[in-house]
Amino acid sequence: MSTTISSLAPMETARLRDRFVSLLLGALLLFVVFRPIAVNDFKEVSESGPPLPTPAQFVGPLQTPDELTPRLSTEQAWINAGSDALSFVIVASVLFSIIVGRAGNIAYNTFREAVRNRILYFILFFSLIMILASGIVKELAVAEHRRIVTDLGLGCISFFGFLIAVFVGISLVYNELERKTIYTIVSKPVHRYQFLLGKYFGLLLTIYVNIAVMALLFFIELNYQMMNSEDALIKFYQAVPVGANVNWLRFQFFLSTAGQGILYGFQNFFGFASPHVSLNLLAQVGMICLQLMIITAYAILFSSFSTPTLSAVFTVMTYIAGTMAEDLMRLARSLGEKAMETFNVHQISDLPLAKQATIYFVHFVSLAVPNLDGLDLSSDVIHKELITVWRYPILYAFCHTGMILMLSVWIFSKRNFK
Amino acid sequence: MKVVETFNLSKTYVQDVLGVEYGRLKIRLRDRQVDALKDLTLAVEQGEIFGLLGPNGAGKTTTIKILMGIHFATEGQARLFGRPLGDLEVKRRIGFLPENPYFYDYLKGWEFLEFYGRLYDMPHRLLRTRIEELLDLVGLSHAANLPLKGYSKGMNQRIGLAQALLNDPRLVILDEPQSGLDPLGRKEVRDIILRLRKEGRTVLFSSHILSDAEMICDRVGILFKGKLIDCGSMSELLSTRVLQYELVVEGVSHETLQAFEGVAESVLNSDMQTLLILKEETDVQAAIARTVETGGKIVSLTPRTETLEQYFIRQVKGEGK
Repeated sequence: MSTTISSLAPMETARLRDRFVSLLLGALLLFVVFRPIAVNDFKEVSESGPPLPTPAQFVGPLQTPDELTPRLSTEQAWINAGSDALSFVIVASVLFSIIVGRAGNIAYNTFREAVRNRILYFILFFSLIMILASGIVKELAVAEHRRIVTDLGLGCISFFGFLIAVFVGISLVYNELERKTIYTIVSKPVHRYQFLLGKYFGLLLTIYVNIAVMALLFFIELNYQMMNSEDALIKFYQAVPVGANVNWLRFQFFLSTAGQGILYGFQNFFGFASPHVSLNLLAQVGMICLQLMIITAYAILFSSFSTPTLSAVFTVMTYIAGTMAEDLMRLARSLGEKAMETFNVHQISDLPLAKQATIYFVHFVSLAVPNLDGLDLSSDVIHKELITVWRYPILYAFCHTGMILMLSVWIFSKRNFK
Repeated sequence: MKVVETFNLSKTYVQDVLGVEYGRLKIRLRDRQVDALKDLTLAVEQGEIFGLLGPNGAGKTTTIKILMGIHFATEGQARLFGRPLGDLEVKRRIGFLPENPYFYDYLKGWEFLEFYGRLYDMPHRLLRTRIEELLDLVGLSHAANLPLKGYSKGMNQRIGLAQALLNDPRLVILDEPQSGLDPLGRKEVRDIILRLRKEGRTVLFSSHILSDAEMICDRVGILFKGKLIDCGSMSELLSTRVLQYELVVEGVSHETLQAFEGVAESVLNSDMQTLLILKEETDVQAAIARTVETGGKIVSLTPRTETLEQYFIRQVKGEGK
């Protein structure tokens, strides 16, 4: 009871220092965001890119990894915008949260809240089980095993990331209001927009960390499955000399494939191609990150003014509508063409008003919903050897997110707390 | 200097379609309205303890919520340190403890205070010593590494008080700081509030426990049904007029007692002593003289003035009419 209250004079210098640090980080961020664009703009990028090395033929169980590792050069790897997308989305979200200042603290606390939430681990656990299970599911298919493992794995990453955005995201803001923890936050020198952005970045960080874990396991699993393909196994059994200890060799075979799976998995994760897995998959993971960036912004928007149940419904609907955005656009076009044919006119403006209204409405909806469809590369991932991600979808994702965040900040800063 | 000023502050709560109150967004259906606060004008001077008193639902918490920027006023203005609400520089100088506080229960006591301290941009080393001091002040040093999940109501109140004092505030706003505490805890909160005044801080707190407020407030504002009924220092509000005298005498004869019964408001006999409750000072003089004459003994004489509670009941009854 008899302690003295210490003075707060050093606070001013600390604030100056923080400002300097955030300026520095801002410059770094600009560099990270614009460097890949600069690289791409000055280089001719062919549609198909350099051909990948053909999958190495597995002849024996005791090959060293080095013989199997013809890599893409680092320069080529950098050109792939997908890996860029992944790297700078993660870096940008962390840096942004630092630059927004005190929002960084709130983001960190949100991350801490999510990480100490049990539901996150359930989701992560099930996603990991699913990714591992893709190796079993592939056996059911006659051919294209690689495709099944890939589709299932990428689908899992996308779906479970979305589940985290919905289940963890929508209750984050609501809990603060419901438990009145926001009261004391608001009384601190924090703007309401900083609070909301902090929540957003914290949630995004949580999702990205989870995606990183899932992606790493996916790459390991995929590489391991490719090593263990039926061809390789058949070759292994053909190569076993008569009278050899089959069990011992089998164990060695397992160890070497698992080890190479892990090694190649890490390589893929950090943006290098392996004999079996191209960088396309990493590009798709980056695109999933961009999709979830948008959906998380929607989750925050809905939870800034309604209850968790309603926000969950709204967010899921937005997600579904978003994945159909390009279908809707096609629908509007075919509606227009069909109507013009029926009424024998050449312009939409000549159609009856009711028809026009329908067409424009569908067109408007297709433009208003987030175009997640356009951010999905999954159909190209398998077929093209090296896909090029254009800057436009990435720019679109950032702009759409910014717009939705601005809207939620506007609502949040004007409402009363319960 | 006036630390807190409000001018004609009014607040009308409107329930909306989604069951949410949108404040300045004004998407409203005017069918469910509650006037929580009407034309509140008051000022709190620097360095005083100001009590915002009133029964439940009088508008005390609404006033504080508006001052803290949790709710927006429907009409009127308020200023803190002469600046409009929501100014970040002002918030640096304020500490706030809400009613029945509840904090992030997944954090430990120390982590919680550290998180809040970071929001003030406090340098790490300063924050460290500050948290130690405050945990010591509120008596929670032993619970610094326990998660808030396991805190009792009283401990929550204490850690809440600690977070309100993190930034060395010039103005401390406490909403019902003593509710839910045992008598010992209430005394400790009272001591902390008095200590804050001694350090030159201004304290604004709300309470419906009048006896606690009476002991420490310099000035009080009395709210009832959203209106400020009265505002002023204790001596201004409570009449210094003596309401009644309590005279205890000993060894008086039966006849004398009967004579007293005509004069006194009431006469209470215990085995040896007699308690007389008298209205007028002349009656007291007469009774004393009579007792002494008949060989009795004066044990004690206590003049009773108005308590805040009596004043409050008088005011509220007056409003009700």
